[in-house]
Amino acid sequence: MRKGEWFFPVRVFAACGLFLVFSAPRAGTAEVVTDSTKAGIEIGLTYHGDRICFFGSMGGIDADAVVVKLTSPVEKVKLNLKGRVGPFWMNVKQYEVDRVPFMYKIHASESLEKILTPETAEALGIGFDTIRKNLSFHIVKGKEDERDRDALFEGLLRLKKRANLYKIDDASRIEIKKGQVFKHYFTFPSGAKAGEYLVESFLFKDKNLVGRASEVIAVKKVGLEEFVYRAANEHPVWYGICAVLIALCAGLLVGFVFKGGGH
Amino acid sequence: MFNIYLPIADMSINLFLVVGIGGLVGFLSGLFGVGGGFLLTPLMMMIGIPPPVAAASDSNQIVAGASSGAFGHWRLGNVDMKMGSIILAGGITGGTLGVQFVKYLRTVGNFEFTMKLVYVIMLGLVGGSMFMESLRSIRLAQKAPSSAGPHRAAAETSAPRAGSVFSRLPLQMHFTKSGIRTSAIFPFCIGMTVGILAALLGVGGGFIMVPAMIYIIGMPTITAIGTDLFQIVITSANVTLQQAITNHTVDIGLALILLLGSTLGAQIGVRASRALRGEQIRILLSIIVLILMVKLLLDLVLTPDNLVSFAAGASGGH
Repeated sequence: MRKGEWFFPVRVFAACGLFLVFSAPRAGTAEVVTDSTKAGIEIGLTYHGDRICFFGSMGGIDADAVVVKLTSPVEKVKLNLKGRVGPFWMNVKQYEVDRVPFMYKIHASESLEKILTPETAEALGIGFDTIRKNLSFHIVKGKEDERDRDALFEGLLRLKKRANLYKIDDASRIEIKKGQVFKHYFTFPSGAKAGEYLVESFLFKDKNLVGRASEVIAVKKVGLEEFVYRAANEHPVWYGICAVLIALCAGLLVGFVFKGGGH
Repeated sequence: MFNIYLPIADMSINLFLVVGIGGLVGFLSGLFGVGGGFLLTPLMMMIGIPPPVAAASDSNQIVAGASSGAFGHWRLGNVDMKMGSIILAGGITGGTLGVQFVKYLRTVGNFEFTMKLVYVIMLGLVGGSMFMESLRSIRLAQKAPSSAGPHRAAAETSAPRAGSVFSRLPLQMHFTKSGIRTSAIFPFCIGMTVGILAALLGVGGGFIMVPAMIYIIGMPTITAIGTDLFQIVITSANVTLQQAITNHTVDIGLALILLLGSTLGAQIGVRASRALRGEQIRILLSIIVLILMVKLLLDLVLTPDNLVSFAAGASGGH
């Protein structure tokens, strides 16, 4: 045996070990085939929210539970915090909060505790706690106070939940048919703005991740809505002039139609 | 059903709700002969339209709502162009400054608070004085049912002309159309005040401007109304343009739906006013104004449901 040759089996063994370590989270996870009733949502004149049904095949994957996460890219938001000033409530502090997902929804086939361990939940970013851990707070106005952070997060959760942008629904929200197919639907509320939304499906067996899939749903403004929105934001001077001229013409027109009415 | 998506407010809203609010305000303006901008903004906020979009779109709607009246009065020669131009110089200065003030308030997060507070003060003053005056007119009418009429009596008692004060101020000018000689300082200042209010609240300001023109400057009523409509159209057009450029809060669609509602409402209101007695409908309007004032005051003093809100310039924040 030449010098160094005895290293070979050790190296192979080490390489296998490294491979196992680095691929551990993915070990044994199969690609799941999923589909949806729509690949995108168009915000038009009559848009008031939309619903998309999702399906996934569990064929060949021995899974007993499904968790689906819907998220949109994180963003920076500014949050006002109210306080008492004399008899009034007014905004006394302002924080800039970074890494806030605009939308965040979790669906599950049964309660999350039964499906996955807290460690897995954290690794996959499942649960409001994982959002909280990623946030960074930066004071813009007023005196910074560590205790504000919990109040801000609670307030943010309530704002988002009320707009149906954040939700965790693990009360049999996902239906599994004969262990072969899972299905459920996501509601995109009317406040769901244009952007790309990521839908990730995770399949579990005995609290272990055994399969995953992801899909992108594009939400965009179309037609008149897109035109008006872009005009107002990209050409505000022209938009303003047009708004005034349209109003003048419309006002004179209705004045002509209803002579003597109005003012 | 019948929802419509507002691209600037970034929200979906029931079409009939917006037409209904426009209609209600139009009905009241037809009934009482007031513009109604000061009712429209608070009502829009109540149905969930973000306050800055409500105020800016209301200004846009006022351009439409007042244009035909202004055109009519201009053709009939009821507009004092010289007086109108001085008021407008103030109105445009005030409106432009006001929009920048709105921008500043939105940045520091207290636009909604300031707007509601100014509304409370303004609606309180307007509603309160209207209520008292109507009550006085009704009492007068009851005492002397066959006299010249409560309106004239009220006008005569509450018309202290401030002409003597203004005659001592500099910048004296002669206004041929109105047939008066007065200082240009007060018309400029009142124009500026109304311009600031137009930017902050989305009002036309006729409820301040017309009494100021008649009782303080001493203009004839019909010229005051014509000149007021003329300045409202241009002041509101300036505010709309400035809001569009600075704050991106003008929703033309919303403005047009409101116009449709208010035009239809005004037709019914004008007809209804012929069937009702003056003092009674004025008391009714003052009660509506006072209820709105109390609602806004409660918003400011009651512990809010959520202490956290989105600020302007970020997601979900208008």
